Amino acid sequence: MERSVLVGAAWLRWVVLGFAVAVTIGNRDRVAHPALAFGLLGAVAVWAGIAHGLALGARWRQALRFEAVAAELVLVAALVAADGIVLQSRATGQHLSGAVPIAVLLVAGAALGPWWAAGVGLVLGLARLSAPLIAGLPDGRQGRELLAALSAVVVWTLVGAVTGGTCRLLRQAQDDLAEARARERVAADLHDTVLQALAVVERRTTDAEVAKVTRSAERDLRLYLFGDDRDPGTLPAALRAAAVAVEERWGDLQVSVSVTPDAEAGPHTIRAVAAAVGEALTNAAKHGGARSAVVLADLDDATDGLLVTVRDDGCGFDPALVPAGHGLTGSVHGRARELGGVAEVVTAVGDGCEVRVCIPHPANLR
Amino acid sequence: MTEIVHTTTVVIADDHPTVRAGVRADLGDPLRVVAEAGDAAEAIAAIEQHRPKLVVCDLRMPEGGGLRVVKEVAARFAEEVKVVMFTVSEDEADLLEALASGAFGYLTKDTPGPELRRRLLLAAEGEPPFSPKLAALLLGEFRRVARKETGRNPLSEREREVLQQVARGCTYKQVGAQLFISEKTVENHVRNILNKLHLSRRAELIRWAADHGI
Repeated sequence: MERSVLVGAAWLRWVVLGFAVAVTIGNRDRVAHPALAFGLLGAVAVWAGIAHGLALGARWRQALRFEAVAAELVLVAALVAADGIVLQSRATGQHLSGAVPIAVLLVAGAALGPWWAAGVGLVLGLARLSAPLIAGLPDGRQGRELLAALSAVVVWTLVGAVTGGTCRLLRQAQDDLAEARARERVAADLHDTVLQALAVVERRTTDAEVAKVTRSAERDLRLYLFGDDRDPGTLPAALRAAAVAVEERWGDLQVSVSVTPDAEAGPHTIRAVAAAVGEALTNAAKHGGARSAVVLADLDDATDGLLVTVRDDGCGFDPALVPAGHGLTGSVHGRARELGGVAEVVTAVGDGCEVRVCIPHPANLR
Repeated sequence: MTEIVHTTTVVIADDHPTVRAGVRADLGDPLRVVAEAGDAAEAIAAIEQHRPKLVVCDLRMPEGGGLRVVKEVAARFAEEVKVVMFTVSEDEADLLEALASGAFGYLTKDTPGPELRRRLLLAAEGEPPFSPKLAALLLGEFRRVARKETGRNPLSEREREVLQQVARGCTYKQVGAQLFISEKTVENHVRNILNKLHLSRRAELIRWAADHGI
């Protein structure tokens, strides 16, 4: 990305410089200090040559160094400021520097980021402001000249900041894209080989232990390859995955997952509900000492929403002794509320525990 | 002198020999395995020959699968032979079809050995193996039927409550305690629910035939 900006700026320099030279020659009878004017334009041309060589050469990163940007800035700022005594004082309506500052703003944005680029814009703007001050303002036009110069300060500073910001965003997008492409390639490879093999072993084995190990390996690999933000899959698949994860962690708990065929939800709801179920199951195993639990996802006839219950055979607890918003109740309630639903916990000492989460109209939720 | 033991004859049908061996090892007296079958055709032949009391039957098998076994048994040995589906959890649609076609009940392959034995003994006594998963499937099925029939639910309010409680993982005893009815009444409700499933499927078939001019 930086390379393309440098190459673009290199060609842009020749164009804007050519234009500036043409304007100066066209106004040569009104140029106050031809030696200064053509000297500065010549210096910029030399720099354009150096920068061009750098940008297209193997060591193009050199052009991104702070020193390189500073050198160009000094040159261009001098050109802009000299405008006051060379052309502007003669009221030609033309500027000596023309569009030359654009190139340095571009390079600064790509090389140094938005803050430095804004600084470069500010320096150029101040140089532009100094031009009419150095020249001495012609009578009757001071106001207009000053206003034009001041607006140049603001505009160039903003252009610098925006260029820098845009370059940063572009670079991030480019990095993300490169990483995603690499991951996709690896994922495609592994999907065709390892994941297929794991799926075959998992489905064909009759050894529960082998199936468990394979399932866990497959899940880890999928999580690594496709990340956490992948499509959670169907509601039954997501709930089963949550149940398996808890079963693996707490060996004594056996979870059965039932989903009625008409219970459906969008990916956002599925993810949150699966997380809530995972928390409820973890609690059943950890605090309730449950041996078995049943997860049921069903249509809630009363609200036409989604009703998910997690019932365990653990020791239960006295809800009056657990402070509100604590542990199970807090986290599950929070997730239910996020989805615009409600959660309730029905339990008593020695009588297991049932967590019920009711989400209204899941089809309308993301 | 030999003691007269009331044995229950069983045929095991599954295309995986290891599964068959595992089930055979889990059973034992008074459950007696009289034959094993590796596909649907073999299973039907074995049932014809032995007329077992129970068939433990996988859904996914060559030669037509468990569904073919269930339909054949329902047509020819309806009162005599009970087919219990023995499946992994992924086969939901087929499972419902098997139950509607006359399968007696359903057990998952991860059911622990002693539990498997207990449930099969109860099945021989006439109590269908009925898990929360099955109850959830039936809830959905009956809701579907009710929607089609413009609001008329084939289940009574009580039956629906029973189904919901079982789907949540309550035992018949817990369901009874919650609904203030006896365990035996809960069992009766469950049996009625299964009958209604068969009936509703039959009614659907007849309607389909009428619609298509058969």
